[in-house]
Amino acid sequence: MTHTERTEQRTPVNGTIRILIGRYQSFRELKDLFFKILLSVAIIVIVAPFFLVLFEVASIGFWQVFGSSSGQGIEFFLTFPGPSLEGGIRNALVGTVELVVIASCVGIPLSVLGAVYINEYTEPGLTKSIVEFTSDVLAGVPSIVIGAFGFAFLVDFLKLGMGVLAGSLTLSFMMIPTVLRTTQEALRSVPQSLREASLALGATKWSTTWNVTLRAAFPGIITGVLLAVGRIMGETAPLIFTAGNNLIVPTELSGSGSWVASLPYTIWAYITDPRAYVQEKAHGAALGLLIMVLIIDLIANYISRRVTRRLV
Amino acid sequence: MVTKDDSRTQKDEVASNRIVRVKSIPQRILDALTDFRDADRPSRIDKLGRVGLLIPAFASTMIIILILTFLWYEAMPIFADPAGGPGIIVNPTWDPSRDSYGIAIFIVGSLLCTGIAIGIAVPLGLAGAIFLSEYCPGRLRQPLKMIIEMMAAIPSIVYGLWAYVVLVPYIGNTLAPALQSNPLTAWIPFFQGETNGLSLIAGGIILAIMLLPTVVTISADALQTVPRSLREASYALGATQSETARKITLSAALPGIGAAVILSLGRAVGETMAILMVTGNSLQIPYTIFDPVYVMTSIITNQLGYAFVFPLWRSALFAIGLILLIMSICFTITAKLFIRWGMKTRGMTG
Amino acid sequence: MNEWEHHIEVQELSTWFGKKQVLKRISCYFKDNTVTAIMGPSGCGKSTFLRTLNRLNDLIPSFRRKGIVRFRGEDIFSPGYSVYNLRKNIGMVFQRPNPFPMSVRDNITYGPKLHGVNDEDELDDLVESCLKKAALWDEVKDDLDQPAPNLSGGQQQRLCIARALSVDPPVLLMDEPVSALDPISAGKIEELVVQLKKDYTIIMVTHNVQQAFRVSDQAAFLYLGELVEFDKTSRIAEAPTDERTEAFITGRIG
Repeated sequence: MTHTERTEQRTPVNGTIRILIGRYQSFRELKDLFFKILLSVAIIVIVAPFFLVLFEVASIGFWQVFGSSSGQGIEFFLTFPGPSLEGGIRNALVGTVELVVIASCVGIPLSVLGAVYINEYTEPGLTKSIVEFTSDVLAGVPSIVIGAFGFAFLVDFLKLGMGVLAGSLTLSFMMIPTVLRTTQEALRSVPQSLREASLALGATKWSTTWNVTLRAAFPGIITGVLLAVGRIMGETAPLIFTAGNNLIVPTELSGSGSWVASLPYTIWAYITDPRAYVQEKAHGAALGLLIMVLIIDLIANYISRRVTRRLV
Repeated sequence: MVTKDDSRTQKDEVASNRIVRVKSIPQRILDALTDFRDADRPSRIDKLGRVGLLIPAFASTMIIILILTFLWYEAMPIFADPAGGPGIIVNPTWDPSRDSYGIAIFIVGSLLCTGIAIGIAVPLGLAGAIFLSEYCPGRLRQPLKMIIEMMAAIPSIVYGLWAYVVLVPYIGNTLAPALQSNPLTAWIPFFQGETNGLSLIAGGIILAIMLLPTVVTISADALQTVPRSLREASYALGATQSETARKITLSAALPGIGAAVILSLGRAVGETMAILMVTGNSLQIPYTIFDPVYVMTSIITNQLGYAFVFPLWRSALFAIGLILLIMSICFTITAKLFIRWGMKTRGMTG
Repeated sequence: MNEWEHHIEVQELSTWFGKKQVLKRISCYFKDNTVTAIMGPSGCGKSTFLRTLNRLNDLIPSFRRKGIVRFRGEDIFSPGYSVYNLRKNIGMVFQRPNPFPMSVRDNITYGPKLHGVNDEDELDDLVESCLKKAALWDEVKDDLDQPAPNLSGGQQQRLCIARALSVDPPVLLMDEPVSALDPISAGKIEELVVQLKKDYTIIMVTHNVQQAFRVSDQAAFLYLGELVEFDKTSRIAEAPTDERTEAFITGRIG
């Protein structure tokens, strides 16, 4: 009984299978189709979190960032939180900008010049491999370890105290390897003939590097810088023990009065707060941070794509 | 005639270069100074620039050395102290109030979280990479790549926020009860236990989501550098697209993919904020995937803020940092060796 | 005995990449157990023609074609025709040696394994016989597990021929198989082609007129996508009927 029922039920399925076999003649070809379907599912699963995260953050944070009633929209970014955190996140926004700007001022020249040195002034050899290896190692060091080091070295040993300077220097440590490696990549893609053309005109190595090579590599370097800025902008762990938190914008760079808030730290502090309106503000801050980071990433992407198209 | 002369002068030059190299260091500095004095203005700038650039070039080297030195210096007390010693690595009891600083549970927690994350991210990421490089219709490729690159740019705190607000309640309210009541899975010991969602599996999943962009992007790049002629040779033998992708393209790209996996291992062990928010941070070794777990990065983040006035406690936390650092260095070295090994066995150069 | 007369017959074949027409209404057939050389200046569609015969062009999205190609009497473009079986039956050797980045042995066993040969002894025999047919056995028999990319260019190309032979195809397509090699390796491969003729139908694209005359029985001359001349090689060499062919042979166009 059950057997016949089952075969009856199966008939349409059997039909489909027969059609499939007719189209895909062998087992191997069916396997090919199956593999293709599996991969398509995988890619959907991979990109799904992007939309889930975006949707969740935006669904709660949207009115904080784009609303027009009091305390929302532009006001959300321009008012201080106040003692019970009812205001905006001006402290965090200004803090993040300060930290990132100072970190860039320290990190970018160091890494770009470093890349120029190992790419233009040294032959492949021990120096170059040491620099490349240590940059790769530094790029892989966990952010909390960098934070702990910043605390031990900058805050404690150099007596800078937690604050703007210690926080931004710690961030610059995270920036250096990324910018160095991308700059190196950009310099490497500058054709040798361009340098030779300049040297053949009697230019020194120094002026060739500044006026020809770096200019040609500029878009690539900017891409690397933007990627690094986007990355350190969202870092929390290195700042916990080096920058601290603050409800206002500090007036000093180092010492005890210089504790500074940042967007990621604020999100962390707010989301673990039991009050519902504070959690909403966490989403608003997260949406703001997300928009900034994604715009930076898109610009970097756009530049790098335009450059590769030009070179190809 | 002319060529002979040329080769001779070249040889002479090489020889003289060698002689310069074996000169003593003071002599070399003196030579450089005389050169500098005799040079015209442009050459002087050139030489100054060369020296001036040395410092930035070694910035990352100096930072790494400083990090190693300071972590070592800070971690020394706990390794030297009778209450600590190297045994803390296998000691599972962490109780600073009684001077017990075993860090084994954190190591185990980190490894479990990383294991789950890699277990999810590597197969899934590889599948995505193969899709992107072998199957993806041209029109879809660029948008997909862009989304995946943007995923890599999302800060970990934002992932953490999402996981804390959405994923953790989902695991606590839906996934765990569903798995525990379904007769097919209810008997599996790993699925037991009461949970509020703050768990090992939550950490593993959010970590996997964060690793996926790296794994997909690097693997897809590696797959795309495999020359088309290899694929065509395989098709010409009658292979299907999937057979070619699995047996030829994947195997040719293995060094790059292996490096991607190892690098993401390093990132997984070092990830801090998202993990901290979703794993429950309870001092126990997890027995099921729904048990809370405490990882190495979380203990540092949670306790360094008030432990830094107690020398031993602080030192123990820095010891955890030192272990993390050593692990990350090992991962970087392994990734490099893996690429070199892969190149050699595949007969590729460069 | 067979319903079909020749392994491959082409009827009114035209192909396009995007809007650009590459082949224009080509009709011909290839005699079994002969070497056919397809000559022509670069860009005349020789490679496209060859790659249409085993449907390798299907992978290029902008590719379109009209007309019929018959393999053993069956239209290879008819729906439901197994392209994988077709490619198993029509081997191909490429312009540049492209051994898989794996051992010499695995290069040979890759194809047979795909098509269901799993017996180790059988595979070993296959490796030996294919390498012998490709005149490579003596050079590599002591180290079959070395990575194939470590071989020299000429050895690599012979390995690629052995690899193509491994699935026992009656037809072998060769896309300028020696143009990337030094003269000595090229000579070896030419000899090999003449030997292989006994068992295989070989269609070889070449840029080099002298080489075409040395190895082929029939020759085709393609010019700007048209099949200008197709006849016995000796006849074309003596007295080409079309002046474009003559111009190419004497080196005035190329």
